[in-house]
Amino acid sequence: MGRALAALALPLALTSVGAAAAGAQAGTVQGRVHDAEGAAVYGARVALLRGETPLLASDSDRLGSFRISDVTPGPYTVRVQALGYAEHTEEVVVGLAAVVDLDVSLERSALELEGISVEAERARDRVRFEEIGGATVRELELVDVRTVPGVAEPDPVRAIEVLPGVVSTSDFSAAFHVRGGSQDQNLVLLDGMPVFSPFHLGGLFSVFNADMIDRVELLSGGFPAEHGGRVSSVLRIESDPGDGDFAADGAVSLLATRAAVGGRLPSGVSGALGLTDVRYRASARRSYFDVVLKPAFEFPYHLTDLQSIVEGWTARGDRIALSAYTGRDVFDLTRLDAEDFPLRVDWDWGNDALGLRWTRPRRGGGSWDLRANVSRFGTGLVFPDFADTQLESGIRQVQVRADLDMRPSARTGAQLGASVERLSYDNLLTTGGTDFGGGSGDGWLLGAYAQTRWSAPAAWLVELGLRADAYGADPGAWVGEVAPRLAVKRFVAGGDVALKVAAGRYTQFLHSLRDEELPLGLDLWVLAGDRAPHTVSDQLQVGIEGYRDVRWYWSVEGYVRSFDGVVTLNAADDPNDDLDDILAGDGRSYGLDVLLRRETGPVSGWMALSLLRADRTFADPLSPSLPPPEVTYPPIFDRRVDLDLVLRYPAPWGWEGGVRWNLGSGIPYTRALGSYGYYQMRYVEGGALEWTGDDDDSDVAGGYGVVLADRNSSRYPVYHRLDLSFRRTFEKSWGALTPYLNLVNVYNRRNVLFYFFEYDRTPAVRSGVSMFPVLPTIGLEVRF
Amino acid sequence: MRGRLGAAPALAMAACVSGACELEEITLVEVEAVVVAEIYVNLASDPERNEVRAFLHRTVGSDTAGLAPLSAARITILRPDGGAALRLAENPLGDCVGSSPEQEVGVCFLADPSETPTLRHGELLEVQVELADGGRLSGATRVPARFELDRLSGNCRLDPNTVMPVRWSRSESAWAYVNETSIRGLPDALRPEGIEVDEDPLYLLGLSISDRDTTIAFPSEFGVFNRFELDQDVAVRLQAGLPAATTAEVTITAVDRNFVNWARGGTFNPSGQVRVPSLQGDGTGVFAATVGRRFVVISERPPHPVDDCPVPQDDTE
Repeated sequence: MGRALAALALPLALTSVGAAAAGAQAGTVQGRVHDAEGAAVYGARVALLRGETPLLASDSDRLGSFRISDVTPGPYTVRVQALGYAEHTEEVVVGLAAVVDLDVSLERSALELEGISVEAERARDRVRFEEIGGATVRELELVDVRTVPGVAEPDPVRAIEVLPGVVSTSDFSAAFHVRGGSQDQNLVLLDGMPVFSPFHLGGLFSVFNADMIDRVELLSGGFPAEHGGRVSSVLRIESDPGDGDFAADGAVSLLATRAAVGGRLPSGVSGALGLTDVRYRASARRSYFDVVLKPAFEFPYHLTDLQSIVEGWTARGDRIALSAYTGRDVFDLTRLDAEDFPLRVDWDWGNDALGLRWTRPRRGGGSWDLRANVSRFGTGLVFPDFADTQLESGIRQVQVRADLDMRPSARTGAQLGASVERLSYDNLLTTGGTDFGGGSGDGWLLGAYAQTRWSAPAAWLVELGLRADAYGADPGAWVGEVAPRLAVKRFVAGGDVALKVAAGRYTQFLHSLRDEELPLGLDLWVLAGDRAPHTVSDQLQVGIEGYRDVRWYWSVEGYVRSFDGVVTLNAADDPNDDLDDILAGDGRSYGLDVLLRRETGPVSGWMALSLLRADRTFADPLSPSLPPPEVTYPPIFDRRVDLDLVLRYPAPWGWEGGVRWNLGSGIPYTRALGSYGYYQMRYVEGGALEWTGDDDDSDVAGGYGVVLADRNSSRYPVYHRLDLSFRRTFEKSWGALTPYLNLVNVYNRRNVLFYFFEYDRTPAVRSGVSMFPVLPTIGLEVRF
Repeated sequence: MRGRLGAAPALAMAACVSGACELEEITLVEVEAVVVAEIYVNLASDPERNEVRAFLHRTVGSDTAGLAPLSAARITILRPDGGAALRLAENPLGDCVGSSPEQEVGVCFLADPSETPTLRHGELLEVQVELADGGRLSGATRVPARFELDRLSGNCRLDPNTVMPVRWSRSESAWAYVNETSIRGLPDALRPEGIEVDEDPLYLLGLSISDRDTTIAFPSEFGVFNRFELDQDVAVRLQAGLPAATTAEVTITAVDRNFVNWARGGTFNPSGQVRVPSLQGDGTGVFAATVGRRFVVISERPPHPVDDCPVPQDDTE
C-alpha cells in the first residue's frame, strides 16, 4: 500500500506544478445558476457577450455550477438562458487574471426559449470536447432515445447500440459489447448505483423506463480513475427529477403500460426537512398481457418496474438525492392448465437498487460528494411439486464512497476519492439430492483514486490519474492493483481540432458466467477469488476529433486492449474439485471508431462506423487431451465492421421522423460438420447403449450429437436492417398526446440468428431461424 | 424444421412471429464421415460379470462407399500397470445397443468374458482402435475404486409409499454416480389412483455428483432428468414412494471422468448436443470405466419372504 500512496501523491504534485506553470493573464467567470427555491438549474447556457456577439459560453452542470475561463480582461454582458426560465443578463468587468463569481437566480417563465435545449446539448458536447482529455464520452439525450427506432417502446440501453464502438449480437438481446469487451465488463450506473443485470425478458429489453431518463452517457474508452470495477465501458444513466412542476405521464406500448408522476413537496414539508426545495419523480411500469389475456388463458409472464428519484436542495446549494429502483420478471407456470404444461415452475428474477447522495458545491467550482448505495440482482426457480429442486443465483453490493472535486485554478483541476464495497454472491443448483453446481463467496473492495487535469486553452489538455484497488475475497486472498491513467490532448486549428492519446490500466473483480452465444439468458455472477481470477485490462487509444463550424462534429479513434483474466465456464470440470468450474483466459481487441455527427438544423443525426478485431484464448474444454491445449477464437461479438446511420428529420404533417440503418459484418459461429446418434449407457435391464438425448420432436426417441469445426471459425452472413419511427405530439388544453409508430426491419431482411445443420435428414440440409422479421409496433404517450 | 434449441433460444423463437423467422433450407452437399467409438468398461460386484463393450458407428448420412467397414477394426485394451491386453471381437449389434435410429448403423465389439475378470478397480487402462483404413483412435482412463452399498444386495422388500435412503461407500476418484431404476408394474398399480402410466418398465435416472456424494433417496430423487418428459402425476406420485405390487431394479454406478464428460455435454450449439470426447485421433468418442452395483426392491406389505430393505424409522410413513 505504501507504493500506492506514493503514487497517489504524484498527480497532486503535478497539479501544483501545473497551476504554477499556467502563467494566466486571462480571467475567469464562474458561479452557480439556481431557481428562486435554490435548486440548481441544470443545462443553463451562460454566455459572455460584447454587444450582441457571444464570445464565450458554457453550460451549468447538475449543481448549477459553471465556469468560463480564458476570458480576455474587459467588460462583458453575461447572458443566462434556460428552458422554462426568463433570460437573465448582467454586466461584469473581468480584470487581469481575476475570477468573477456570480450567483444567478432565474425566474420561471411560461415563455419557452426556442432552441435552448438543443443549444444546451450542443454546448455540453463542446464543453466535453474542450475539457475532457481521455474519456470517449457519447451522450444520448432523451429525445435521441425516443427517436432512435426500436421495438415496442423507447429503450435507453437499446439506443446506445447506435454509438461507435458498441456491438450487439442479436435483435433478441439488448446486451451490448464495447470495443471487444464482454457484456459483463460494462459498468451500468443508474444515478451512480450499479445495476448488475439491467434487462427484462432475458435480455430483450432493458429495465430502464425512458420516462425517467434525463440522459444516457456511454464512456466507451479512456474513462478516468474515478471509475473502477469494470474494464470495458461505463454506461451512466441519469434520472430526471423534473422541474418541480406537477406533471403526470402515461404511456402504453406493445410491451407494457407505464406511468410517471413528478412534482415538488409543499414548502412546509421541505422546510421541515431543512431543505428549500424538494422535487420528486416516480414511475411504474408493468406488462399487461397476463391481465388482458386472463379471460382466455393464463399468460405466464409479466414484468414490473418501479423507479424514483427525490432531489432536495439546501439554502447553500447542497444537493441531496435519493434514487431507487426495483424490478421483477415473473415467469409463472404453476397456474397453467396441467394438460398444456404439466411441469409447474415459478421463476422470477430482478434487480433492486437504492442510493443516497449528498453533494456540496465548492466555491469556485467543484464539489464534495458522499454516496451510499446498495444493489442486488437475484433469480430463483421453484418447482412446487419437487422440494428437492432449488435454483438460486444472486449478487449483492453495498458501496460507500466519497469524492472531492477541486478546481484550484482556471487551468487545473483535481479529483480525489475513495470507496469501500462489500460484495457477495450465492449460486446454487441442486436437484435429486445432489448439487449440480454453485458456489458462494464474498469480498471487500477498497478503492482510492486521484486524478488531475491541466489545460492550456485551445492548446493542451493533460490528465493524469491513478487508481489503487485492494480486493480481498473469501475464498481467496487479498490482491492489490495499481492502475495509472494518462491522457494528452493537443488542440490545433484554433482549438476546433484535437489530437488525443489515452492509456490506462483497468481492473475488474467480478464476472458473469452467462453464455454469450445464447441470444437470451440470465447473468450468473461470481466474484474473483480462488475460483476465478480478476481481470486486468491495459488499453491505449489514439484519436483525432473536431468541429467543422457549429454543425458538424467528427471523431476518429483507434484503440488496442488486452484482457487478462477473462473467464468462461469449464465444460469439463472435475466435480471433486470445487475450484475448477471456471476457466481463466485472456483476450485482445483492437479497432477503429469513426463518428460524424450533424448537430443542428432540421435534419440531424450521425454516422458511426466501428471496425473491430477481438479474440479470446482459453484451455479447450472440448479437447480429449490432458492437459487440454489452448484454443484462440473470435468471440461472438467479434463483428468486424459495424455501421450505423441515425437521422432525425421533420416528417410530413407535423410528424417527427427517425431513421436507423445498421450494417454489420457477420458474427462468428461454430459450424457442425456432422452429427451422430446420441447414445447413453444404461446399466439396468442388463445394460446397453440406448439412443437418447434431447429432441423436440415427440415422435423421435433420441437426438444427435455434433462433430464441430474449429470454434467460431465460420461466420453468419452480413447483417443489415432499416428501422423507422414516427412521432407526433398533439398539444391539448389538458396536456399532450403523442402517438408513435416504429417499423423495425422495414424491408424484412432475414438476418440469421442460428443455422441448424441437420445431417439426420435426407438429403442433409442447413436450415435456420432469422432475427426479427418486419415488425411494426405502436404506442401512445400521454402527458398531463 | 427440427427443433434443436434449449430453453432460452426457444423463448427467443417464441418471440418471433410464427413461421416468419424460418430461413430457407439449403441442401448440404458435403457430409463429413467421422468415426464415433463408444467403449465402456464396467466392473460388477461379481468379477465374472465384468464387461467391456465397444460400439463403433459413423456420423449419419456419411457416404460409406469406398470406406473400409467398421467391422474390420481392431480394438485392444492395454494395461500399462501390468496385465494381459484384452482384444475385443465383433458381436451382434444387440449385445451393445438397445435402441437406435433407423438410419444409424454400427458395429458391436465385446471382450471375451473369460478375460474380463482380471480387470481391477483403480487400474489404468488404455485403448487403441485401429481402423481398417489405417486410422487410429486412442484414449485412457482409470477404473474407479471399489465401493459397496450399505446393507443392500440382491432383493429386499420395501413398504409401499416409503422413501428409502440408499447409501454406499465412497469410490475414490469417481466423478459421479449414475443411479438408475427400472420400475415394473406401475400401470396396474397406479390405475386405481387414476394415474395412467404408459411405460412398463418405467426408466428413471438419478445422479450423485462427485465421489463424496454417496446417498440418494429412492425413488423420489430418481427421475430428475425425466421430469420434463414424464407425466407429472407419475413423477409427483413417486415422491411418496413406490405403490404396492411393483418391483424396481436399481443400479448405482460409479463413473469416471470420461463417462461424465461424454454424458453431460459441452458448450451450446444450435445444431445438436456437444459432447466432450476422451478419444483422440481419426474420430471421436468415449473410453469410460465404471463400477456398478445392483439390487432389486419389491414393494409389498409384510409378511414377505424377502428381507426388508434398510429403512430408518424416520423415513417411513
